[in-house]
Amino acid sequence: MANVKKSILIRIFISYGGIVLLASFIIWNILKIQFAEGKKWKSINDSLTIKYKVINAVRGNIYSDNSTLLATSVPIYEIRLDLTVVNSDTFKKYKYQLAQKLSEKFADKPLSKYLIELNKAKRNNNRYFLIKNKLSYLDIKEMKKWPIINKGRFKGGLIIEEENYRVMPFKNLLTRTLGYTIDGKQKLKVGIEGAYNTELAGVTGRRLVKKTAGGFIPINDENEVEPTDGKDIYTTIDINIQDIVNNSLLNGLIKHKAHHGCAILMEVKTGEIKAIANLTVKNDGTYSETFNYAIGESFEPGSTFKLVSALALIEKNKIKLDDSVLINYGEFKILDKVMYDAEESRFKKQSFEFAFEHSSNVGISTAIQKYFAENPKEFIDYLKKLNIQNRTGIELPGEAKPFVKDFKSKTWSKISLPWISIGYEIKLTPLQILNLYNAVANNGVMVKPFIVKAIGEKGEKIKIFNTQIINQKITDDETLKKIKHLLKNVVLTGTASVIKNSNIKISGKTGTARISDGKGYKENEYYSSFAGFFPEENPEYSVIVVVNNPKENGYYGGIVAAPIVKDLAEKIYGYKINSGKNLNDFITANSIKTLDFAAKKDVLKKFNNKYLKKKIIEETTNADWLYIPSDSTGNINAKPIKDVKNLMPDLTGMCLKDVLFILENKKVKVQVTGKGKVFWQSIKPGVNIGKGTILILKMQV
Amino acid sequence: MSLRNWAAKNLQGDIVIWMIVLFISIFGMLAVYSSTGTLAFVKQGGNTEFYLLKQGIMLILGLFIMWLAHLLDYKYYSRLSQILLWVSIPLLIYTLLFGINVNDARRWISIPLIGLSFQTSDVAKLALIMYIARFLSRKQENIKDKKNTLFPILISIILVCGLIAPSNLSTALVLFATSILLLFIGRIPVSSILILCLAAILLFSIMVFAIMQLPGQGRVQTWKTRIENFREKENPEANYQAVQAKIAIARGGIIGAGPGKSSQKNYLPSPYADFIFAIIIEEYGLLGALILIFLYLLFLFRCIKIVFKSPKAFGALLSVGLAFSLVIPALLNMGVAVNIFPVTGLPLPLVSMGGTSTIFTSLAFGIILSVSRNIEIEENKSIENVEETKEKEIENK
Repeated sequence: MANVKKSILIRIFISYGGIVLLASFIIWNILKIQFAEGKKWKSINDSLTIKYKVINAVRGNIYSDNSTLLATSVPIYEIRLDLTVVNSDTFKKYKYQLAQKLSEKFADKPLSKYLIELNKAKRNNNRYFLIKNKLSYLDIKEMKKWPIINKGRFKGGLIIEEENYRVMPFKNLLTRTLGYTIDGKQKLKVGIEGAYNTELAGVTGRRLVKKTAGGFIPINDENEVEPTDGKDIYTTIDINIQDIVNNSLLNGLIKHKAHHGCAILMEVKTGEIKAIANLTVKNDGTYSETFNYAIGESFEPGSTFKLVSALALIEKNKIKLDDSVLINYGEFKILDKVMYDAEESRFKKQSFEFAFEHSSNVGISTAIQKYFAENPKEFIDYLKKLNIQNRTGIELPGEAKPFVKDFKSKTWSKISLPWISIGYEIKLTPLQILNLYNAVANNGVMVKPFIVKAIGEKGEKIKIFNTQIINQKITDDETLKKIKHLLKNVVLTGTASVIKNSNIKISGKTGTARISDGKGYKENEYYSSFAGFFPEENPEYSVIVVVNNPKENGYYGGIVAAPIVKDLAEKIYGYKINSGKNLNDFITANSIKTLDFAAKKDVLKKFNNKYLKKKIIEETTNADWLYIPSDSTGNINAKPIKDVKNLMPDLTGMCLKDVLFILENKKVKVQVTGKGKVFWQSIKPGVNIGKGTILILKMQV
Repeated sequence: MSLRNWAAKNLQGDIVIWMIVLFISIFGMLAVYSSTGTLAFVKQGGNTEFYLLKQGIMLILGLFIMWLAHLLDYKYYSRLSQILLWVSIPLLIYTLLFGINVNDARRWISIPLIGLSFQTSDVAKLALIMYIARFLSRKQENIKDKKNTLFPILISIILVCGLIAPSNLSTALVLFATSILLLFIGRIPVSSILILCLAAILLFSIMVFAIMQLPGQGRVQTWKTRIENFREKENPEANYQAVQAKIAIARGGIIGAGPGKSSQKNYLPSPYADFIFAIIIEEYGLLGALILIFLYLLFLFRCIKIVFKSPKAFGALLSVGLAFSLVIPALLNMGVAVNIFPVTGLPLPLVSMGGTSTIFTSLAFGIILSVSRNIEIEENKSIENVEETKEKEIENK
């Protein structure tokens, strides 16, 4: 027994010796790392750059009033090379070919220039050499086959960076109102993108990455901070009306060779802005959106402001429509300054109604002078009652503040009152003027114009904005009735009679103001405008069109701006009747044309008709996705798309986004040619597919 | 004085082992608190005390279990080991099939109702070591009998290690090595041990081949990369963890950067477990590392001391076996940090942050202390006996 114990003890000590040996080896290694290699590891500590990489959240979309996409984000790429990774022989062998490919594809620099840049970058051991940026996914796919780049991350030093790029599907439409944001030293926030940047941007995520030869590689499995996608913005814009307004304005600007112009269309009852167009001429004579004049540019409105003078005179019972006022043949000296009408007049005196409808400066200003000169405060106070001194408070950044001269101010003179009464010595933006006309159209209720209806998250509207009332009643019904009568007659017999035979009856007021450059008025430069509403009897929309500096075919508001309003009003009503908006429960092929292909639950939401709903549900059991070809008869032909595991679904008619969504879990490699929607797929529906299957899709618009 | 009295009364067994456990735990608390910073920000919204508290609670619970375990006479563990082994084999099978899947490995099962999850391999490990000690002590008389001694024990070892291996290869290998060591200590002939090793290699090859046929190839890919990465020592890309660990060690120097001053903890993956030794060196330097290594070696030595005194083979083999099963993974963990072994994922017992595994580690310590306590009691008895006989002798004279 003693021998057994001894034997066990010997064996234990042998084992213990082994453990001590291992421990010594560990200590030896610590010493080696600390002392023999210490410098090396400490220097790596400095050169190994580890940083938090920002993971951009997907920016939210901007939608129109019927959820048409107005702005969205798509990925773009840039290719860089870590040239320290590329071995010198490889570089020498392939640099010429790479330069050649680059020069051929992009045709922006000669081959030799590319070669010089590559050589220089290699010499400097550039680890982040930019080959090309703003590339599409297809570009990247092509370029990955190029020499050096095709060696990948470990041998070619390839670094591909992805970034989100903002796209507006309607290109030039609404550009400025949708706006943009610039982050950086100069922060710039324009339009809806700017105003709702916080909501749209979401929260960027963070991920700890380490720099290696091939770029930055995540350290942990999960993101340190997960990004939260941006919220969506639903606007009040009707993209079809926007298109019409934009075109009418564009045609008008081209016809009159104007420098720039803007048009705003607002829904009378709600204050929802349905369209807002701003066009500026470019050097080549074409027009594009570069500045939001509609809200950003305040100017002396001229005759459209006479609405306010008429309101003040009538409401305060100073004047009746048929009271006579001094016209004095269109020229009258008030104190030391002569006031002219747009044209000479043959009348010494005329009724107030005539003076308004024919936009007589002398007529309106002498009337105002007569009744308010004693107490200009009364008139200025009246302006303030109409909220003229305040911004409308539209959500978009950059709304100009109105300039309303106070009678106590140093610049106030005896002639200020008559000049203000015809829209000078006061500055307003087109939107601010429009808001006055909208209040008249809306039976005296002044609402706040707005352009964002709701904020959405994952398809749900999480916050809805409703109409806000600024002033319940700007004036009494009696006055409103008289004002409406005046505005109607401007079109029928007055300065806007050019458009009196419009299919849609329009009421409004013309304006032709001279342009001031701050020092004085320029010769032959005018703002031609028309503000009003339609249909005249029961107004649905209010509208303002301002054309800056028309050079050909006239310059009066009645000649330049009013026809633009007529054009857009007629087209809008044409569109509304055609689109079947008034045909409530009857689904026409036209109105679901935009659906084409969609998730079933989304399709069902579109239908109010219970019979149709039931029919669709019955016919498409087991299908989550539907394809709805719209044929000329207006019948709905819902085609179920069965999403069965390992079977190729029918993808015809789908856009790429939906295709990728469906194929996401199938591990199929997709190759795409063309753009638009799938019209041909290389694997027939119902065929078994497995991991790594290659599917070729042909797309067309 | 009163503390010493209290300790002497309540903490029976080798007081040195008790002190070692306490010191190592304190080391662990400090290192865990420092290295869980990143984790606390990710998972707990910046509440850095969360993991300190969690580790603290686990250690206190561990100490309590240790205390309970050391009160029980170690003779009962012999029978218990047998029951535990028969329970743990079905548990391992269940885990392999239905366990909680983390990174392609099923290692955890959750206890119904309580919701606490634990690694079944922890139970199996403890059971197997205890069982081997029991078996060897019983068969000492006919240790060379292959049929009755060698084969039954071989089957237990291969079964347990084989069931752990698919999900946790390193634990299985270390357990296998510890078992072999125990067989060696238990006087199993070296020739038999070699046969056992060959059999294990053969079985392992078959297992790897079988796993590779599965969809996704199980964890074989992970094993491959880890070994390949280990071999490519000069490639900082492939060997990122090792490079970061070496930077931490180099930064530590002789006296370390100071508590909480580690910067590498932000760059090392799971610095609170696999690479905690590197963080300890960075913060407490070579000195800290030497103290920690010394503590483990001292612990092993104190356990061997028990063998001297132990009148029975079971007590000796039990305490030595458990001691090796704690110290070997500890040294391997350190070896990974200094890059003499590939990345394994073995914890540093009582130091690494570990939830329920701390409990099983404590249980092992508790059983060792139970052996030591009972030996002391017997010693006292025999001394008393000796003295009594002396007294009698004197009286007789």
